[in-house]
Amino acid sequence: MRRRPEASPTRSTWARGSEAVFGRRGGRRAPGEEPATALARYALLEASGDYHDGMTARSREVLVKFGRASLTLSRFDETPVTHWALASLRALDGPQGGGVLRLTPDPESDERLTLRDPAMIEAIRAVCPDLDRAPPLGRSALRIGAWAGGAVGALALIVFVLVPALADRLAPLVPYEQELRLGEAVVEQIDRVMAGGAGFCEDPAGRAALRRLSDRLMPHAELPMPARLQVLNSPNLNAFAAPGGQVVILSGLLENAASVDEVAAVLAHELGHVAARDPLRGALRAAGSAGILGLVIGDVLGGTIVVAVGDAMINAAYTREAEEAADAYAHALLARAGLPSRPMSMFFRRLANRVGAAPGLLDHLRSHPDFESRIDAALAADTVGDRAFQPALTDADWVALQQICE
Amino acid sequence: MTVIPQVSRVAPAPPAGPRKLKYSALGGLIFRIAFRGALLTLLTLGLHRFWMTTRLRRAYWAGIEVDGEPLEYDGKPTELLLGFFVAVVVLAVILGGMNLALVFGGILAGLDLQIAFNASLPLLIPLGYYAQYRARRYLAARTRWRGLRFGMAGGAGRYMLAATGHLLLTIATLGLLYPRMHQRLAKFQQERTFYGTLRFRQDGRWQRMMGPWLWTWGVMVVAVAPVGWQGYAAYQAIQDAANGQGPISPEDNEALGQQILAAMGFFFGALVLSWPLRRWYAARAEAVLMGGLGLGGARFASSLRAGTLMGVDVKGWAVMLFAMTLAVGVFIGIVFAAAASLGKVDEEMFENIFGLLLQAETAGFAVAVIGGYVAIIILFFSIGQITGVHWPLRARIEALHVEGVETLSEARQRERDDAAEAGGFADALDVGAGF
Repeated sequence: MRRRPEASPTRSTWARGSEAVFGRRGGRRAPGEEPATALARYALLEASGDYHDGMTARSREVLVKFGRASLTLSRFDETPVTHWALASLRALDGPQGGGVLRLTPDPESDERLTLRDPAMIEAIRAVCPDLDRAPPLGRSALRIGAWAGGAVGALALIVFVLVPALADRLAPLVPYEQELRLGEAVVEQIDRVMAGGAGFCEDPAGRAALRRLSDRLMPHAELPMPARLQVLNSPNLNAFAAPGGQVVILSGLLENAASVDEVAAVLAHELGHVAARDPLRGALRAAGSAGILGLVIGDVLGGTIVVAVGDAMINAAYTREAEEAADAYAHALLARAGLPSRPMSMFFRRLANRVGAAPGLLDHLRSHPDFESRIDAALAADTVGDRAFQPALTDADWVALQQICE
Repeated sequence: MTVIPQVSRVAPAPPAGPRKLKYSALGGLIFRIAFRGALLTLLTLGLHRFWMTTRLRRAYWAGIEVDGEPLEYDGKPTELLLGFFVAVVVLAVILGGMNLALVFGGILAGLDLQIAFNASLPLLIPLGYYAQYRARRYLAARTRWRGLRFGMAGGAGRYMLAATGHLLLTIATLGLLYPRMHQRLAKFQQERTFYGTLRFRQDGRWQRMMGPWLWTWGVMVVAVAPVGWQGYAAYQAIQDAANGQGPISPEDNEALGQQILAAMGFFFGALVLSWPLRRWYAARAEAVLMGGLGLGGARFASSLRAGTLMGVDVKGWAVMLFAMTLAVGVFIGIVFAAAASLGKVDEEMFENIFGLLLQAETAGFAVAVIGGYVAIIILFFSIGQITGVHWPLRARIEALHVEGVETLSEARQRERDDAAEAGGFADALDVGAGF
């Protein structure tokens, strides 16, 4: 497009040109050979090529020769067409051109020259070692960095601020009946996965004991909705809170608890989730952030694993703070009900011994705060101490509760 | 080198009928780019893919010769990267808001959460069309031939509407009108595409694609119908069980399982049986859409045959099967050898394989296994680039002819189109416009 003046190259162009001739690879120049002679080797070389002026689609056959640090293109009657500085010459197709070398006078130009003559291709490759060099990133690297930072910041804002805030605003708008229906579906799923669909434990004496345990805590609980406590027959040492105030205790927890006060402490923790409406908020948050990581990684090459791990990390970050809040709620509830929170620490201690400490990396994946800090918090919050207190249930009721699934 | 002096040939020699396009990309080069690119992409958690894509496109474009001059791809990886950043943020807002709204609405309406969540997938389809058009526009803007740029006019929004309309019509006719959608969408894109100042035309008739399509469609409908029926029956049975009409008895359960299995077998059988028909349709569609394509005084034509496409399929499957069998075989062999050296080979080994991986003392073993797994993924990708892109592209290009190519010299250069977001939406939504 930009036709270069026919005048000889400026001093600085020549300097860059000679640098190119000396080049890192040095082409086929023998050691110690002067750059001028390297170029001189090819001074008599001529070849034809197809020239495109970048303005029309017309093909013009031109005669290609070396000039002073340049490549001259002329018509066959020797009328000059243009000449290109060797230093800024670039190849279009990378190092492997399959017997064809396509050139542009500089990376911004629309002009093109297609060469098929092997000797000429070899000569140009020898004197222009920068032929395949990509344009330096320079300021565009800064721009990319800024955009990358902006994108990461925006994504973090969306995932960790916007989505949780929106979920927290939406959760109170869900009517109790709908939340309960959702919760029932969740509990059903827990039943299928954890207890093989066996349903809840219905032993009458056990149910009555569970009701009495609930009566002990509920007056102090101040929940936004009625809580429903149920026991599933599963050996796992665990309990869940589901939307709609549903709390599910697994029978493994009852069997492994040292005292009924440990069960009361776990129950208080789950009621903390009910009080904060965590299950519903969690479902909404997870829905809002799902799939976002998939966008970032793309579906290339087993990226699914990275995405799954990342999603788990995001959700774990959500739940960790909810767990801490539920613990604090439990401490206060137990204190109001005249129960100690020390059994909670004992329960966590047992759990910690059973699970073992997670190695550092896995720590970030865990949805719950680490056991040591929870144990310390429970001990510090204990208001009963060594004084006598009325246990959460009588011994007889405790035995009945433990046998609720039989 | 030896040049016979002659008068500069400004006007090329008169045309000698239709000219074949030439495909000269080298499989070895493509494989090397893909292999190296896949490795670096894995190591950079996906970031390198923009560089890989650019290198692959450069190689493919340079391999397509029209009238002796190859195409040129002059896109830059940094453009792709920037476009990706933009697209990801925009999509994150759309996706997050949409999923939240759907789940919230689903809870209010008392729907199953999974159903509400899956409802976002159909809503993403129009977005996918939008992204596809934008990606095509970027590709056109970064393609040159004889130094002149291609380009594409704006219209992604209208394309999204048109494509969604066509899709709904296609669904409403149970797929019968798919060829109409196929031709109309190609026409929409092509008639907004330019070479320099010249605009492409598309006047292929979709009715000519109906013959092969009716056969393909017939076989697929026959195949899908029982699957749909069985699926509905199974759904009913599960609903009945959930509605307290007793759990499914073991006998019922077994019968149901067999029915579903039979239906699936039927479906995949039909998929295999319809394979020649689908290739017949693909060849016909290529003939119609290329035969209907014009640019200035030039006209294109394709003589692609179904048999050629099937040959490419068979060759691709054979190579892929052979390579993967070999790779997985070597991999399992190494795993066994490594496990044997640790003295851990027994029938429980495979159950404990993850336990073995996590043990500190077998760190070397874990590295070997993960390395083998990564190598297999990379191999799969790079062989897939040859069998799934390089060979099919060669079959299509080598069947192409162009008549009146000399009239293209009247084209003039067009302005550079920034096409700023550079197909980033398509990349993030995984609807990339080829290659």
